[in-house]
Amino acid sequence: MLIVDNVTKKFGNFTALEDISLEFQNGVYGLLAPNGAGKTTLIKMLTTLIFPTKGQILYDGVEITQLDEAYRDMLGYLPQDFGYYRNYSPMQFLSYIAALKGIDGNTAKQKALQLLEIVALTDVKDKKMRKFSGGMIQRVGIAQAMLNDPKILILDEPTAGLDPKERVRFRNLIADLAEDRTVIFSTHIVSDIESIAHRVIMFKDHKLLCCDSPDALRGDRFNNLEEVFMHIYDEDGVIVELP
Amino acid sequence: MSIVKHELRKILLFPALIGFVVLALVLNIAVVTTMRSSYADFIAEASLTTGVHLGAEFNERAAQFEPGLYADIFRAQTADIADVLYGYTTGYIADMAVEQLGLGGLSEWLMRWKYEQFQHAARSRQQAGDSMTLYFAEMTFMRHQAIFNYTMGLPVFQGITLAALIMLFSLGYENAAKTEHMVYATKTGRKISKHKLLAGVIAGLSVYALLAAVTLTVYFALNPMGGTWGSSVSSGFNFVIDGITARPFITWHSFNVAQYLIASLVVSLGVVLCFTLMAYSVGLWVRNSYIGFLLIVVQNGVLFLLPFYLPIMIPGFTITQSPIWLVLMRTMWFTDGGSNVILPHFETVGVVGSLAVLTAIGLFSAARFKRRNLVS
Repeated sequence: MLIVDNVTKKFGNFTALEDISLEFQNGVYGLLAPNGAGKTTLIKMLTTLIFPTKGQILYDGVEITQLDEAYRDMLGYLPQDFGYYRNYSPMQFLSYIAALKGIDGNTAKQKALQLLEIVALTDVKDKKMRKFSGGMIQRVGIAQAMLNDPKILILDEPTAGLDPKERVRFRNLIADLAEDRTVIFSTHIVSDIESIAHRVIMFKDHKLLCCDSPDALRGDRFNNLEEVFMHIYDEDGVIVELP
Repeated sequence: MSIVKHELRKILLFPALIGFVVLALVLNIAVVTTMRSSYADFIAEASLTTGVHLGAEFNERAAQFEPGLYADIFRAQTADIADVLYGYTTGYIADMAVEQLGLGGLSEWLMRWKYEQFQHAARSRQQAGDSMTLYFAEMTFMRHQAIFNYTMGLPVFQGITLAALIMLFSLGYENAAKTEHMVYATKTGRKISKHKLLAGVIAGLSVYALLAAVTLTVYFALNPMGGTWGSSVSSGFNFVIDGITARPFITWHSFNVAQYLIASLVVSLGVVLCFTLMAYSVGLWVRNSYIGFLLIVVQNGVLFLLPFYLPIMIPGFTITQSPIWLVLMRTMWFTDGGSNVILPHFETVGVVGSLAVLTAIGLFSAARFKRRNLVS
C-alpha cells in the first residue's frame, strides 16, 4: 500500500501542497483539480522526481526514497508533456525504456510488441516517431509506462491529444489494468475518470479537499461529477462551495 | 542492449558531432600538408644508412653519400658536433626563473629543488648519449614543433572540446527531448548519469583517438621519419625557448621519438578524460548543454588567467597543473616545464592530480544530483 503521510511541498516561500495525507490501494484514483492546484506536484513526489519538504511517502511501510530503485521498479509513469526521441521508432524507444527498467532484451521485445498491439501501433512499430500525431505519441507513452507491468501506474493528463474514440478505448484499458494495481490518473477532464475512478481526489488551496468515491461525491444533489466539479470550482479554478 | 550502448547510440547519431569531426579532420589534414620539408625528408632517408648516433662511424657512413646540396649540408651539420649536455648545469635556469618571477620562500625553494633534480636528468641524458643523436639535425626544432606542437596539438584542442561537448550533450539529452521525468522515474532513475558518464568517456576518448590517429597517420605518410624514430628527443639539436631562456630540450627520462610520441598520446588521453569529467560535473548542475559548455569555457579562461594575477605564488603554481595549462604547455611535457611549474614531472602530476580532483567533484555532484528536485 502506498501512503502519503502529512506531506508538504514548498518551493521557496510558495507552498505547492500542504499537509496531504492519502492512502492508495488497488484501483483507479482520479486526481481531479484545475491546473495549478498541485496535481503534478503530488505526482512528481510519488515518482521521486521531487522530494517532500515535510512528511513522508511510504510503500508497504518503507519510505520510497529508501526503497529507491526497488520502488521505481514497481512504477509506471506517463508524464504530462510526454517527451520522446524523434528519430527513434516505437520499438527502438520501448527497447531503450525497457533497458532503463532493467528488463532483459528478449522479454523487452515481446512485451513491446504486445503493448504496441494493445495501443494499436503495430503497423508503425518501426517507423520514426517524428511524423506521429499527438495521439500516436501519447499511445507510445502509455506503452512505455506499462512495459514493466507496474504495480503503481501514474498517469499525468494521459488523455491529452487523444481523439474521443481513443479516449474511450484508453479508459477501458485503464479500468482493466486497475484490477490488480494502483492507477493514479491526473486530469482536469471530469469525464475521463467519472466511470472508472474508484476514488476521486480533489485539492483546495493546495490542501486536500476530499478523497471519496464518485457516488459519494455526487450524493443526491448532483447528476454527475461534472456538476460537482463546476459547483466546487469557478472558472478560474477557485473553490466556490463544497458539495 | 545495455544502457551504455543505448547512450552511445544517441551520441553517435548526433549530426553536429559527425559534422565537427569531419570538419576537424579536413582542417588537420589541410594543416599537416603544409608542413613539408625536402631536406627533412633527406635526413629521414639518410638516417636509415647512418643510424642516429653521432660520431666517427656516423661520419664515415655520411661520407659515402653522393655529393649534393642536401648531403653536403647534412655532413656539415653533423660532423664534429660538440655534446651540448657535457658539463651542462641547470642552476642558471633556476636563478633566472627566481629572478623573473621574484620568487621567495617556499616557492623559491621548490623551484631551486626542481632544477637540482633536473641536473641529475641532464647528466643521465648526457651519459646515455641521448644528446649525441641525430633527430633532424638543424631541422630538429622545426620538425619537433611540427609533430608535437601542431600535429598533436590540433587533435588535443579538438579532442578536449568535443569530449566536453559529448558529455554535456549526453547529460542534456533528456532535458532537450523532454524525457527527463520519464527516464528518472524508471528503475535506473538518476543513476543513468553513471551510464552516460561511461558512454561519454568512451565516445570522447574514441573521438580524440580517431582525430589523433588520422592526423598523425597523414602527417607521417607525408613526412616519413626513416631511422629518426630511434633518435632521442633530448638530441643536442633540439631545444626549448620559453619565457626564461633558450636551452637544450632535456626530458626527465630517456625517450626516443617513438616513445615520446606514445607517452605524449597517453598524457593527451588523460587530459581529454579530465575535460570529460569536468563536463560531467557541470552537466549534472546545468541541464542546458550550451550553457554548460559556456561555463566550461569561462571556467578554463579563469584558470588560465588566474596565475598571472595571484599575488601568492603557490596557488598559482597549483593552477598551472590544471588541464587547460597542461594543454597549453604540451610542448614541454616530460621536461622541466620552465618557470610555470614548480614540480618535476608536471604533466604526470597534473593529469593524475586533476583526475583525482575532478573525480571527487564528480562524485559530489552526482550525490547532489541524486537528491535534487527536478521541478520543470
